[in-house]
Amino acid sequence: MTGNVLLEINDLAVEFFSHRRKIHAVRGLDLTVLPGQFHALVGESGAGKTVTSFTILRLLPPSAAVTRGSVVFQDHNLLTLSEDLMRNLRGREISMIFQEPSKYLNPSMKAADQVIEGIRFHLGYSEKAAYQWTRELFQRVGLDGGRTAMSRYPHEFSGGMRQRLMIAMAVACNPSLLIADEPTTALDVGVQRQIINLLQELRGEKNMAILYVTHDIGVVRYAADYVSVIYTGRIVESSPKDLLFANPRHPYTRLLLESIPSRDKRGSRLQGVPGSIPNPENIPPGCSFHPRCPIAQPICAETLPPMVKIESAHRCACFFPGKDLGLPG
Amino acid sequence: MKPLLRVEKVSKTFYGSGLLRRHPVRALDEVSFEVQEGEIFGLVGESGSGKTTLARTILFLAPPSAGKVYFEDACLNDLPARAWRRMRSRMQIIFQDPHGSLNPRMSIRESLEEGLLNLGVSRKKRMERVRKILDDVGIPFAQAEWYPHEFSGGQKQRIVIARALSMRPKFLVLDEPVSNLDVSIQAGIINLLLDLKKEFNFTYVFISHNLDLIGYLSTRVGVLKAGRLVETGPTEEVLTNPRHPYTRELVENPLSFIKAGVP
Amino acid sequence: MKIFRLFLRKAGRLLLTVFIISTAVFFALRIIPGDPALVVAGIDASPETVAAIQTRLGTDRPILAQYEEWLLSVLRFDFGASLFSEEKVSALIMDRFPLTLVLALLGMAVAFLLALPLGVLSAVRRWSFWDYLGMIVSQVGMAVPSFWLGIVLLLMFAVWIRIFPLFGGEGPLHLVLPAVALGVNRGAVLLRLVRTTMIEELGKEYIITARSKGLPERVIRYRHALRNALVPVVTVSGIQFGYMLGGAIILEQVFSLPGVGRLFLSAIYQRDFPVVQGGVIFIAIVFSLINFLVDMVYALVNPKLQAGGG
Repeated sequence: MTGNVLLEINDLAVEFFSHRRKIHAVRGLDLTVLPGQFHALVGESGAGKTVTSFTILRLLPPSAAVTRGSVVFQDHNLLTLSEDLMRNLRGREISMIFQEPSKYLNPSMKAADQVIEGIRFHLGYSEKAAYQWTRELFQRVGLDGGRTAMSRYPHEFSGGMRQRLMIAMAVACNPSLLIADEPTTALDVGVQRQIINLLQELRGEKNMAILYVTHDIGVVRYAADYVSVIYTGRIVESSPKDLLFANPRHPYTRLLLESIPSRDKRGSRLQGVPGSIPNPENIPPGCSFHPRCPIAQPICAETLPPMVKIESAHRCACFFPGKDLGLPG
Repeated sequence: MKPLLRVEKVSKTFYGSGLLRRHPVRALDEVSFEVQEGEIFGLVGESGSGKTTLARTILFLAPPSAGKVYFEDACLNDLPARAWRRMRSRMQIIFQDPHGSLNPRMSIRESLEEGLLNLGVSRKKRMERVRKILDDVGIPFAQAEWYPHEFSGGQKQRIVIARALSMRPKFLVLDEPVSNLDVSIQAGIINLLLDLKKEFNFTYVFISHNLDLIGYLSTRVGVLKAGRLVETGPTEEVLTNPRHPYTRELVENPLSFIKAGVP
Repeated sequence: MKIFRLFLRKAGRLLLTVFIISTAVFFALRIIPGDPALVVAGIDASPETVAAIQTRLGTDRPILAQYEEWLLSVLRFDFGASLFSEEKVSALIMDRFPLTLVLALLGMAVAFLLALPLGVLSAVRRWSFWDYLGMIVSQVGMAVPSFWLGIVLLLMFAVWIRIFPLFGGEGPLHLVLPAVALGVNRGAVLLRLVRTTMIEELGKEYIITARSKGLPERVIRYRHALRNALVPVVTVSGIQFGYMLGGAIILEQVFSLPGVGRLFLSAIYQRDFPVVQGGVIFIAIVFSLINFLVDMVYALVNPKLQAGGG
């Protein structure tokens, strides 16, 4: 493995089994995260974003199975690592924050204790040292580091404050990768911006990469270095942010960008994506986007398009990248 | 020109539960605005700003604690009970969560017919109207006997819109109607709402936390913060030249596309 | 302080309950036909004797005066003397209550020893041997009444295999079988509850967070899940403890233990009404006190009641 890759996912496939049905959540996904990178994984609901992020930490429920592929983190294949070694990585080298901190925090445990337990377990700090470090973390993420404030319970915090608490927990052991699963979706725009700025600062201070899972193009454009667009469990386009927004190539990416309402588009029709996301039990063969694609050709229904290089690091999985979609206006 | 809806110094106060201390919470504080016939009035505000309370209050689903609401020429505060039935059908509301607003045990046809039954429309006419409305919102009539859970989120919202249409309203309050939907689905619903508006000459109050959406849709906009309307005006003017510091903060937020333009 | 306000409110409710029950008991015993003086004196007694006894008992005075005196006596925890042994009722109760209380506490301990480990194991290893064992134990435990289990235990461990004594209340060995008989039934209910709440908590999102922090499963189960699972268990076990006292009264008959149960039962047979009155009030106070304590413990383990909300 090359020295400057932090996380490399290769040909990952994850299936869910329930009531004798087989759901293809992730189907041959490739993703590379570099150290210190803000990597946005963008997609709509059901695209497999959350499943991918849960797979990295091996937090999938028992009904899910990884059927092929590898997840290599700092030269370890996480999918074959022993449970003990995996546990040492979780929270220490790779940590995670979630969409709804109110659900993802233990309701009956004091705020500080939820941070302290990870520090003590991974870093072996004394009670006192761990408390001291937690106090510093509280202050760093913008929470009150006073003794009474630290012994509050999660329900006494506002939504934004709870996410700050989750962040304090996640960065406590200076991980090299933070997986953020829609962490600002439930927050107001102003608070969203503060949380993203905080994440950006911490990323710089700790040289920590962030894999930011989201459906929010606004957040992606504001914060990401690099973007991967996911559709039905596969990456369809990945690129440095500026190249992607300047020159989106995959029809799905382009229709998605065309769908965003904004005042610039006043008076013109929003494009939208025709049809709806396919049933994950029965994903169309070839390029799974072909039934919704305005430029689909017979080959698209037969052959899976490979990822091809557009320019430098900009790659796209389409046989006709950038072809005119024939959109009105 | 005469406004279709006039909201005059509407306030709403809630009282917290509890035996000893029932401290009042002022959810709306003297909110006033007018909606002209045929326009889209955008109301933008963050969580806790009183958006949903305002939606319910102006339709008298929860009457205001103080202030008056006029619709056409009638003052809703003084409307006699028997006049309300007709009035209700003229003013419809659509909520964020389509799932919660559809009865899971009723087929789509039953849901759509329910309101018509109340208005005493004959069976044959009802079926005709259901067919027409489903066609209007882009749901195949063949699926009329399906139940809500058999539809996707976007389709459910279309059905909720269809139900509102079945009442032949004039005025619709849309409370975050697309916030739970993916961008690609959202676009379809917004297009549908715009088409319907053109076809039936509807008037909308469109409530959202998303300033980009409001900026795309609305002719005029009101900015709601902590129960107060801090700024109102033509959308283009408010977005280009926001007066209130809070509006400025929203407009300048780099997560929105107002300043930076759409990618 | 929220918790202090809660304390005051619950204490007020406790006093109100005791007052209402006292009133109800007082009037109920006055409505039931049969003059207690006649019971004491016997049917053949002369009217003078009966009148003398009425004066001694105070039943010849106006009813409101009696009621006032009765309320004062409840406050003083003084219910007069037994009609037969002439001992003070409060002394009789306090003499025998410790045994009943110890029995109920032991029963509670048995219930917890059964419910907690087996409930947690069942939840953590679902559909394993332990889970099936837990299901069988809880089904059987709930189906079998404790007095019947007591008799079976007596037969098995005191008659056939003579490990435990058959009758009487001397020494701790006498309490083992009744405590088991009591505990199994209530423990079965708790076992189910522990399993359900534990499964529910283990399925919640904050467990995923705990895993994402790399904590060992043991810590996740006990520090995170069990603590939250115990919140409803605490409430229910308070109610269970009330049942436990009731059950103890019956088991005292089966095992011939001299607790309050036997005292009250014989008082009822003999129409010894001061003892019956005192007994009912006593049980009511104990029940209300338990409820009060449960509410307070619940407030302590549930952070939402400690500060916000309320």
